[in-house]
Amino acid sequence: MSGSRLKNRKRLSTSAVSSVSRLAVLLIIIIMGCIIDSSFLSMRNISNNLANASILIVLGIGQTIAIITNGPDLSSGSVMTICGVIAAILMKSYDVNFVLAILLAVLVGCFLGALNGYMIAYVGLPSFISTYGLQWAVFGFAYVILKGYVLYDFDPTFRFIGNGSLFGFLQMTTVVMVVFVIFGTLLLKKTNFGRQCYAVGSNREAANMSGIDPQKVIMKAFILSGMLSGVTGILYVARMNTVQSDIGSAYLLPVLATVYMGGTSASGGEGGIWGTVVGALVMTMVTNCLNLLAVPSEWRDAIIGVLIIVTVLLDITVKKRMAKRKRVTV
Amino acid sequence: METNYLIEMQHITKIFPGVKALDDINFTLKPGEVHVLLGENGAGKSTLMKVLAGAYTPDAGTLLAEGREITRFDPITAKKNGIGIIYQEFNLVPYLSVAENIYIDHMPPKMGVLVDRKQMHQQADKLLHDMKMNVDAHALASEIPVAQQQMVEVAKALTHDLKVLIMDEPTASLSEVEIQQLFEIVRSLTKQGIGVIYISHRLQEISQIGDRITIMRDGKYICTKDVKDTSPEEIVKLMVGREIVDLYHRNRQKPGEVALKVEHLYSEKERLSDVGMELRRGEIVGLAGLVGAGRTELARAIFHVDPYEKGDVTLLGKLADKKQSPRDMIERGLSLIPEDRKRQGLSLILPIAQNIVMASLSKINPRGWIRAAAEKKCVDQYIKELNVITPSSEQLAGNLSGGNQQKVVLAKWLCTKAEVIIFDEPTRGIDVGAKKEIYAFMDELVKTGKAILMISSELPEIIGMSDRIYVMRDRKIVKELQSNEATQEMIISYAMEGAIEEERQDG
Amino acid sequence: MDKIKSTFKRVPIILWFIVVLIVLFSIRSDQYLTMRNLLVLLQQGSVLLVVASASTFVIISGGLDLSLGGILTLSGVTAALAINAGLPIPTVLITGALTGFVCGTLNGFLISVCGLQPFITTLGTQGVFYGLALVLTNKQGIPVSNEAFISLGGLINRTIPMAAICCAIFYLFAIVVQDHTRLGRYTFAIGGNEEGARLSGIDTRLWKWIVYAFAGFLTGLAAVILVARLEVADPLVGTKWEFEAIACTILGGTSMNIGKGDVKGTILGVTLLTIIRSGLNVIRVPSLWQSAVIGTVIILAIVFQVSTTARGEKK
Repeated sequence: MSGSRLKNRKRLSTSAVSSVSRLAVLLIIIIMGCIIDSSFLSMRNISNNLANASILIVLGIGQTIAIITNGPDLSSGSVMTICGVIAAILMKSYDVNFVLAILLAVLVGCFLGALNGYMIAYVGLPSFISTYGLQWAVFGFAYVILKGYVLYDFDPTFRFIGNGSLFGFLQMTTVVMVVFVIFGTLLLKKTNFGRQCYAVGSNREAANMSGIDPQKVIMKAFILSGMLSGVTGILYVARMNTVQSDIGSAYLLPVLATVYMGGTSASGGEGGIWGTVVGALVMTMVTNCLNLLAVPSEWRDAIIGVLIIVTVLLDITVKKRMAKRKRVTV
Repeated sequence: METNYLIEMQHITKIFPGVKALDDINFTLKPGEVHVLLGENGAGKSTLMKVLAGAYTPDAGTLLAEGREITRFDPITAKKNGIGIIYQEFNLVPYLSVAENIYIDHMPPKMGVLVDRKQMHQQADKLLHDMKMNVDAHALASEIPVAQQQMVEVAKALTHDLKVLIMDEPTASLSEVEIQQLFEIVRSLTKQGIGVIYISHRLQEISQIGDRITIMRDGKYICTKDVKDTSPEEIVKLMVGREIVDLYHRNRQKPGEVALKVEHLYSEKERLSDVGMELRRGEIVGLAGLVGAGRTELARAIFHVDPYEKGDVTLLGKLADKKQSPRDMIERGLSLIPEDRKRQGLSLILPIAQNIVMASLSKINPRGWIRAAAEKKCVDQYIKELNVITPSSEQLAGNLSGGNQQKVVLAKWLCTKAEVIIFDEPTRGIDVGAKKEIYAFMDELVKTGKAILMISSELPEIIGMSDRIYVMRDRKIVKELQSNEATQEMIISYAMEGAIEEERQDG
Repeated sequence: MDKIKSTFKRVPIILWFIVVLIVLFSIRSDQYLTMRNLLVLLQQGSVLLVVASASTFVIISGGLDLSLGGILTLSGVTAALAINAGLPIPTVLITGALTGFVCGTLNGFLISVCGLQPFITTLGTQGVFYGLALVLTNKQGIPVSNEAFISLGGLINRTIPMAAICCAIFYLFAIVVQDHTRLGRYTFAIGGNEEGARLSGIDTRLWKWIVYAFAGFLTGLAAVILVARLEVADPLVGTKWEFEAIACTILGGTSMNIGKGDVKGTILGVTLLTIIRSGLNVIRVPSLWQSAVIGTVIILAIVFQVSTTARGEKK
């Protein structure tokens, strides 16, 4: 039995190593950034990076919950868009109070998430097909609502959510992000629902046999993902002070890369919000470095695509190696 | 003499995580003989044959084919050496035609790259005709009945240049007529000098078709005999031959009130028909039967994982609704500890603690918020009570040995404070030490007035632990026995279509 | 004859839909059932038919390819570069097909050899392929002006729909591959019973790899025709194509994860989609609404298809 204890200690340390390595990657990128530009670690740049990462993080929280429970929510970029669009049009064209506009927009996000949840849990479609499909319809509706126009210049109180700052350097977006990070972490780690998400994602059949209703849990997870996508849309509009019918399309690949880089396993049941936060910071700083190096924007999709594949590839190789080592020790 | 063997397996050992599936096995096959391989469920027959067919690589031992040592273990090499196998699980591709399945790895070519479908179907038709089978070679494999699928598997093996044919329970799904057809095929093969290895549970088939017989038990080699020198009674004795050691310790007591009652249960999907049984507080009831007899299906129906159409399940005096879910049953005090630990029992990538509380989340945290202290208390209590060996409760379940994993599953269900517990193969694939602990714990549970239904394929376990025994066969309960009057031979004969009585009449 | 009947029996609902829609649209507009409109429909649907066939292969094998749109774009770009460099038309075709083949090979390698999940892999490579297309085109469409090349995708004499003819050839090729080659047959084996196929001595890893490569190859061929028809290689032209291809595959009766399906059925899915799209003009749905309406209709159709077949299979 002492052999098995030894093996366990080794395994524990490998999982620790992987989260340390994630921080190391972050550190390397920060160092690289400093080499590229001496003002990389200036207060201003840090605060900008944080604020830019915030949008990715809030979107990523919903995505993380969806992936842990069942599979990716490929519609999150489009839901983010339509919620931003709805909030914007309510405020601009119908003079709705911004609080009410936000609430209505987020409600739409929840509704779209519920649609996803229904198709996945009750119809039995794979998540990547139903959410990918919904994405195109939703982008279509966003286009319909805006009629192809661009809306800009919103109520300053509303814009404060995205644009304002506390104490000069702490941008409001960052504050909102922190609130949702805390919300997401508490939800996943401190509630029965969070436990159920991990249970369903890691072994749906075992969860079902343990009296957890997988269909309900999946439904709730995708509603959450829709809701957080909606929140992201509003953050985006408040921050950029403009909205178009395709703002979210640029976020689909980055948000997936963020979540997978953060150690959330593509096969479900593994991962967490903190990994996503680190992933988003890496992602944002990589983009920052690319900008500083004046890499043309057309390269960005390719680079992010490679990043996703390499991350998942690394994840799988590490797992395979650990499985092999385990087989030898038994 | 030695070089006359088609196949010689020497000291073959195969280890799966936590269990020695094959332990120093010797096995030989002569040309033109039918060598029957016998043993209970889990004795290691199929594993041994998978090694021979290249599906598994042995951890130790040598394999000689016609005197040459084989070092590469993969299906393609095995096939090149003339070893064909008909697996127990079907390997047909559902949406390819019968002919395509038969010739799947050597479809006749046409013009270099194309497949000559016409020729392939003609050949297949001829082959099926020669086998006296009435199957359309154009039909999809998923469209033909199971018995014919089995015969297609046979045909598939025959298209190769065979020296050895392994048949793993080929008659399980066949009717009497088809069995005779199959035997004719086997006889014509042996006439050509092909060696056949035949795995079966049906004793009467052995004298019909077998030449020699090798018996395995618990992954170990027991003996090899000529069929004509042995009798069915002797075979059964050798199969079950373990003494019932003091592994099982029971403090038997007078059973209390009825805890679980099943009446006239029918399920179309699971083909359960008119199942009735009763379980009282303070007793362990064994449910015996062969694989496929419907024991797990019955348990799942009782637990409301799978639906049933007719019948009443009464739990602790309350009639259960057919529409209820496992969740309702858990709340009312029923637990099902499933057969397949890794697929249904545990989340291997989650920590032990999370696995243990999984079935009782709303009991421990009634408001939805995790009460860490309460959880920890519960987890620690069961880790200690069940003696789960682990450095911490945050260890991933997948890192534990089989026995400790089973204890975690047990802990998960004890945590729900269940009154009635169904154990499905509670000690499969775990070592003796852990087995003993689990048995002691089961005894402890019934002493406190809980009721246990134990499904098991290990007869000594059934006899040693149970107060009463139900035997299932063909999705029905065929016999109820008191454990003090039951013998392993009796149970086997009830489970195997009364094989022994029939033999006696014939002989 | 029986065979045709049984093929049609497997997909009765969708055929029913197609007929009803055609009748409805021709009642609304007497322009609908004209030769001219039919030719236009043929031209529009044919390229999608080839891409959807590629997708069908992948889905039958139990996988998914979200990068087909990216492959379509990138192959179109390389083909355009080739024709503008003055290469002869057969070489241009080969360039496009080869580009697709290489892309597909990369997908197949990552999925089959490295063991990555298909949807992540192809989502990632989708980004890579679009990225490369953007880089190669410098973010602008590459116009092509070679008359002979453009005629590959045009209506010659306003009567001979060249794009449709080319694509029909590719489609027949795909059918032959599915029905009469080991690749086609093994696609079913991998999707239906991968472990069984492996134990029967098939190198499933290799063949799975080839399935993705072949899907890329078909898409590359389609890309050449698409560029010829549009007379420009746009670096974003492939957007949504992979999804429409998957939708057509599912609507055509191919099921996910059980190794069941048929390239021949996919043509029905493509027909339905093309008719719906054209019908939106007939019933005067403003162009603003089209994307939303088509997206919604596709999802509803998939949900309908999947839930009805699931019910059928339960019985």
